[in-house]
Amino acid sequence: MATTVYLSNPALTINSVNLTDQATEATLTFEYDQLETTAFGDTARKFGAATVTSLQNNTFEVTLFQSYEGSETEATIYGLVGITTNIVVSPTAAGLVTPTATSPKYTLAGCYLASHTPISASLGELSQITLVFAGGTLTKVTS
Amino acid sequence: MANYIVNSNRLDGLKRGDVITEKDLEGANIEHLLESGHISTQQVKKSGKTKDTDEKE
Repeated sequence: MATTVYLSNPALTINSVNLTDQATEATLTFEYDQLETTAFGDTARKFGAATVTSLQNNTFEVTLFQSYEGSETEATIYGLVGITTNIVVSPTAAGLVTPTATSPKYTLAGCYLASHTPISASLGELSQITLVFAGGTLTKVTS
Repeated sequence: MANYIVNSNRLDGLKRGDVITEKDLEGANIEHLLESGHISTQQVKKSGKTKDTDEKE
């Protein structure tokens, strides 16, 4: 039985700009490249070693409501295409300011935004955009 | 070090009107924040009055 129940309500900043109230989905994937170390004599495939020897290969995917108002989604995102930026995300809004063990703060530094869809419109629906930030170094802070 | 004025309420831990430096935006792409209007450079206002510093004889 679960001892805690977590209702998704993360907070995030993109290039220090808080777009939490425009976000509807956020997925941070922490990954190291899986390098094979299997050698002759092994009886099963092996990957990696006792210590990290491969590169981080992180991604952050976020869905935002589109807004063309000043200081909103489009103004914040458009100029980030093709360059690196920093993402900060936490399970709670408080975690962005004062991270704790139960509300850690994750910083993805130097991640790259390859593409953006300035127009993403469907009849009768609120316009949303999905962004994928790739690469960068992920750090986790709990205090 | 350049000073900036915060123009939006979307910068984390800051509010509109705050005067900040690059240190307050560590890790952020300041050029883009300027372009997107979240911050602007602080203009130093020059006083219209002049002060005569010469000693009067």
